[in-house]
Formats: sequence, structure tokens, C-alpha cells
Amino acid sequence: MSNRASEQQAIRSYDRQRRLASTQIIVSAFMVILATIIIAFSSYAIIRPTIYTYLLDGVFVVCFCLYCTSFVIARRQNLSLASILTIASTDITIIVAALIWITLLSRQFGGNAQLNPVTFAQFTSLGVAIILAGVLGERWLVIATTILMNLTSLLFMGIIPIMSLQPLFAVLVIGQQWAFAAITLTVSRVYQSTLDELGRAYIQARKVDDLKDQFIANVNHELRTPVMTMQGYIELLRLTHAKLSTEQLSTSLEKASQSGQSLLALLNSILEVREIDQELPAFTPQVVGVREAVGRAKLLIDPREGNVSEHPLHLEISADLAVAGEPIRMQQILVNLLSNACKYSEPGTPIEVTGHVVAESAEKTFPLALNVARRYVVEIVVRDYGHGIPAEQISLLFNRFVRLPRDLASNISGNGLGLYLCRVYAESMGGRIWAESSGVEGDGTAFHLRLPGAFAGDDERESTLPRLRALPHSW
Amino acid sequence: MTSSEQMTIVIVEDNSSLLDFLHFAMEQLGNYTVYSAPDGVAGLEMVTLHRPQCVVIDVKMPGLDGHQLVRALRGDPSTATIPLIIMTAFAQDKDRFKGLASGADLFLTKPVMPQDLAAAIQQAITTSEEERSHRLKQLSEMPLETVTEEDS
Repeated sequence: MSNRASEQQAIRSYDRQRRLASTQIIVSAFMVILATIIIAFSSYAIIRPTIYTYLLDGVFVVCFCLYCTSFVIARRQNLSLASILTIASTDITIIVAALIWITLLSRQFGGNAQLNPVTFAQFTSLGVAIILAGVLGERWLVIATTILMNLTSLLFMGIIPIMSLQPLFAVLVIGQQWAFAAITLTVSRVYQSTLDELGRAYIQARKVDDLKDQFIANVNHELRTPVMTMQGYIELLRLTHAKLSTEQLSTSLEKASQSGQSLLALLNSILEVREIDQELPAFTPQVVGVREAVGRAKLLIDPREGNVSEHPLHLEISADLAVAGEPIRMQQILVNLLSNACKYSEPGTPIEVTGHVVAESAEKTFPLALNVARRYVVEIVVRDYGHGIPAEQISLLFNRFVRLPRDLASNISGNGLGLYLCRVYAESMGGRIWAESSGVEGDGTAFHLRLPGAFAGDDERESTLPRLRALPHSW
Repeated sequence: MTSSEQMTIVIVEDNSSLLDFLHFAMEQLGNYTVYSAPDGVAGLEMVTLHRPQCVVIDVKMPGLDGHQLVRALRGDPSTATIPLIIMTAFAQDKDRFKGLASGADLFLTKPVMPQDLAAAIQQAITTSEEERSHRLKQLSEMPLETVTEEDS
């Protein structure tokens, strides 16, 4: 299932549960209210029995039964039928109550139907049906209910014999009902938008959680293998040392030691993340030459993590291009990006590293940048022509412990922390990092790293692209 | 078959350090001729070529994984009766069930000590044909979804 479909399903499921719960609560409350009205109205019908009172009382009882049915249907998870029944019952109840007042009760109490506060309250109560449609139903139901209430209001006004006030009152009532509808639709829209965002966040969190579980299983696997090799050699030496030659003893011990080192390296990388999560020390930005940093990173790649000599490396970086950052973090980012480019592409395919100055919009200006680099930043792009990354997995890359399912199933080693560290380091220097890939094998991936630049003075910077600051000889 | 008789075993494991160790350890601990294969496809070729008395198979391997290799060997009449041992770092019950359900005789969870592996090989080799058939029959009668659910 695609990410979007998965998000939509999660949102629909949540929204459905919310509507079902709302239906049950609202129906319960309305049943209590309607039961009270039925008791009151039945008492009145006993005192003044007419065919109208019996008829209307019967309508209330029918509506009460519809509420009961809605409640049962909602309990049985049939949302559409429960919502429609609830809204229909409410509409009928409200319209009938208004009708009773206008055609029957107001005549009995006041002699004839008047535009009095009770009548106005009856019209206002029609808005309840509109709000209820918004809470339980879809947008079209709100609009349909509003039109129904408009027509009902106009019908009632036709019954009330106060023609001189009708045009003004009609505008007032219908305007009020559309205001209810507008508010309901707005709230519904905002709610839906919030729900969409929550759905996306939920799916994202669930994916990260799944990947974390996979990572734990993977780490378990990765730990057991060097443990077995190390422990196995030690146990074998214990059992057979007497018959082994000096060379065999030496080789066995060396291999046990190598396995121990692998184990330690894995544990260190996990602990490193813990330390970074706790606190990343502050630093004073320094001028870091990009070309020199790339050259140094190339030399520092662990051969087990990627063999850079198997790939033609194309550099397109101006000799005086420099960033304002922390040299060690900058170096670690580049080592990670280059070793990934080696690991996830076939030997012989090129790796390109380009660096250039770009203008950033004001809102993206880095808060930690040196005060000489508020507008222009340095973008370093490390591009390979390897396996690529599926579009829906790109957003997960820079989280902790993330290894793509394809990589977990492959023989490519990794602990799922490299790109997370890149992001943390880039952000700590006031920069950012992202990846672009079509996901097509051979098209590869481009990692973009933007960092505050170390440029010449303010005056020149404002007029044209910046002149780059000369680097010290030590770089 | 007596214990003094030279036996041939094939070890299929993608981790080169561990493969070196297992090769070395089995040569030291038993009267074995050991052949090593770094992945499932090479393992299949090695078994077909050497007709070993036992095969030790890792699960997580590139290409043909351990379960697929076991099924391939069990599906071929010429290799169907060779004792197979699955040895993996996946340690949960579902992994054990999946390993045995695919047709392996024994399931070992890493880390495995060399003498334990030697004992397991000995046990697998001495398991009679009747015992193996009986166990496979029992596994085949288990609900299929229990296995396929994991596969999916």
C-alpha cells in the first residue's frame, strides 16, 4: 500500500471512530431531551386533547424510536445509517416542535401566531440541525440541511400572519442559518486539515517505529555474528590449543581480536548517537575549506564502509570555497556521504562532488551563520549513480536507526545512523541536508548539504555573488 | 556410519570471518572435510558437487537465502535426505519454526560454540530417515498460515 493510501486509511479510520462515538453521545443526550418533551407534551395532550396534539405526540414518539435505532446502529458500527437517522430524527423533532408552536400552542396561549421571542427561538433552534449535520455528516449534508431549514423557515413564515415583517425576518433567519452553516463548514475544514496532518505524522511515526524494530533485529543479528566468531575462536583455542601450531594460534587470536574490534565499533556507533541525543557541544564557527575537507574525507573512509578507489571521483569545487562551521563535524558529514555513495553504487560508476554558492531566501537564512553570511550559503552536492532511493522512503532517511528495507535484506553493512548524524551535525552548524532521487536504479542519489558560507565583507556581498574569503595555509 | 569415518560437510555463511572460523574449527574438532560457500547459490552448487553428509546453513544471505536453500535441497530427490542444520542470529520462536518448517533437521541460534556445532552435526547425521520423515510429516500437518504469514 502506498504512503498516501496508508495515510488516508488511517485518517478515515480515526474519523469514522470519532463520528461513531459522537453519534452515540449526541443520540443519548437527545433521547433524554426528547423523553422530557414527550412527557411534557403528553401531559398537555391529556389536559387539552385534540387530534393535533395526539398526532404531534405520536411524531415525537416515532422520533424517539428513531434515536433508539440510531444508537443501536451506531453500536453496530454502521456509521452512514446511524448519522442519517440521527440527523433526520433531529430535523423532524425540531421542525415538528416549531410547527406545534406556530400552528397550535401560540394560538391557544396567545390567540394567534405572533413573531414573539418563542417563535424566534423556534427558528433559531433550526440551526441545531445544521450544526449536527456538520458534526456527524459530510459537507454536502450541511448544505442540504441548511437549504431544508431555509425552506422550513419560509414555510413557517407563510403560516404566521405578520406579513409586514416577513421580508426582514426572512433575511435575518436565513442569514443566521447560513452563518451557522459557514461556521460549521469552517470548523469541519480546519478539523479535517488537522486530521490530515495528524494522519501524516502518525504514519511517519509508525514507519520510523517499524524501521527501528527492524534495526533492532538487524543489530541483534550484527552483534551475534562477531560475538560468535570471537567467542568461537577463544573456545576453540581452549579446546585445541595443544595441537595447534604457533602460526595457527597467532592467526586465531588475531581473528578473535578483529571480531572484538568489529563488535566494539558497532557498540561505539550506537553509543555515539546516545551522546549526541543528550547534548551536542557549542562551537565557534571556523573557516573550513570545502575542497580540502572533501579531500580529507576521501582519505578517512573506512575501507569496510566503502572503497572510494573503485569509483571515479569528479570534484567541481572552487579552491577558495569555504563554509563557516566546525571542521570535525563537516568532515564527518562528508565521510558519511562519500562512503554511502561508494556503498550504494556499483564499482566503476562515478561519484560527483560539487560545491557552489547559492542565494537563500530570507526565511531560510541560517540563525547560527557568521554575521558575514546572512544571504548567500554554500551548497555541496554529493551525487552517485547507484541504486537510488524510492521517493516514499526519502523522508525517513535522516532519522535514527533507519535502514531501508532493501538494505536490510542485502549484504551491505550499516547501522542506520550515518545520515542521522549528518543531519544533526548540519543543523548544529546552522545548515541543512536533504536527498533527491528518482528511485530508479542507475540514476542514483544526490545529497545536498547547505551550510553558512565564509565570505568576504558585507559591502560586496550585497551587490553581487560573494567574493570568497582567502583560506589560511593550514587548510 | 562410524564417528571415525571421514565425513564431508558444507558450510554456507555470508560473513567471511565467521565462515573462516567455522571452516577452521570443524577441521580441528572433527574428522571432517569442510567445504565453504559464501552464499546460497554457491552452497547449492557445492552440495550438488560434493554430496556432503551434512550442510550447515546461515539464513540471512544475499541472493538465495537459507530458507530458500533448504527448500531447494529438500525439493531435489538427489539431495532431499541430506541432514541440514540452520544456524542463524535470528533468535525468535517464529524464526525457529520457520527454519524447521522449511525442512531443516536442526535449528541453532548464534552464537554457537564450535563443540556444540560439531555435536549438532553428529546428531543430524545420526538422525534416522524414519525420524526425519516423521518430523517433516508433523510439520506439514501444521496450519499453513503460520508459516506463510511470516513469509509475507
